[in-house]
Amino acid sequence: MVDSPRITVSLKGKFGATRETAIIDTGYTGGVVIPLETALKIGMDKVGEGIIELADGTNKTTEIFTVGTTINGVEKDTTALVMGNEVLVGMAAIQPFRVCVDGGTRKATLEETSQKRVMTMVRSFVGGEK
Amino acid sequence: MSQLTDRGREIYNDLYPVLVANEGDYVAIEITTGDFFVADSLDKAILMARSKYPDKEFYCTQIGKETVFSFANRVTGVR
Repeated sequence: MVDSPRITVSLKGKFGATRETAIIDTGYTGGVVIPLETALKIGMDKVGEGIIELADGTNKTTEIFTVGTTINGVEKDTTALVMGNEVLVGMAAIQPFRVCVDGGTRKATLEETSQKRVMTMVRSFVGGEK
Repeated sequence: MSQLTDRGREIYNDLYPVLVANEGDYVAIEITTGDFFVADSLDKAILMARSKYPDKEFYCTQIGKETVFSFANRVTGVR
């Protein structure tokens, strides 16, 4: 995933916090995926288990954790899986945003869609710019 | 599979006739009581489940699917 678009995400666990450059994985329907080393460093709360479908179509039972995330200034508790060697941000984590990718730098920028909707409504209400 | 997933899956199958009305939503099931929490995201379902059972773990899945999450998602749209 060398050329995949990336964003900065802050992760806050039970013991500590870290700021990571994460790959936006539109193929993943969940929240975030965190490597074991990072998960051990920040301390994550196991909340359950579930079956996940891997990219090759096979299923696997896995543990599910929660972690505090801050993406584009939006803080929330997000479900997380522990696997792999890079931090991934899935579709559930970027659901509040519109994602724009710079094809040259592969850097992604996020825009909060609900906020934009509110701003548009406010502008419309006060009769400002369209 | 672990006991949590095994038992959770059994309860989910029993509950399915009730849960099917919320197909596509997420459910977190507490396996000792059979209590369950449905929301449009797993984050919200877990939040509700944890507010009632702060120290418990839950079987999690997406209603109508065998899996809770997929790495084989295809993003679709109109160009």
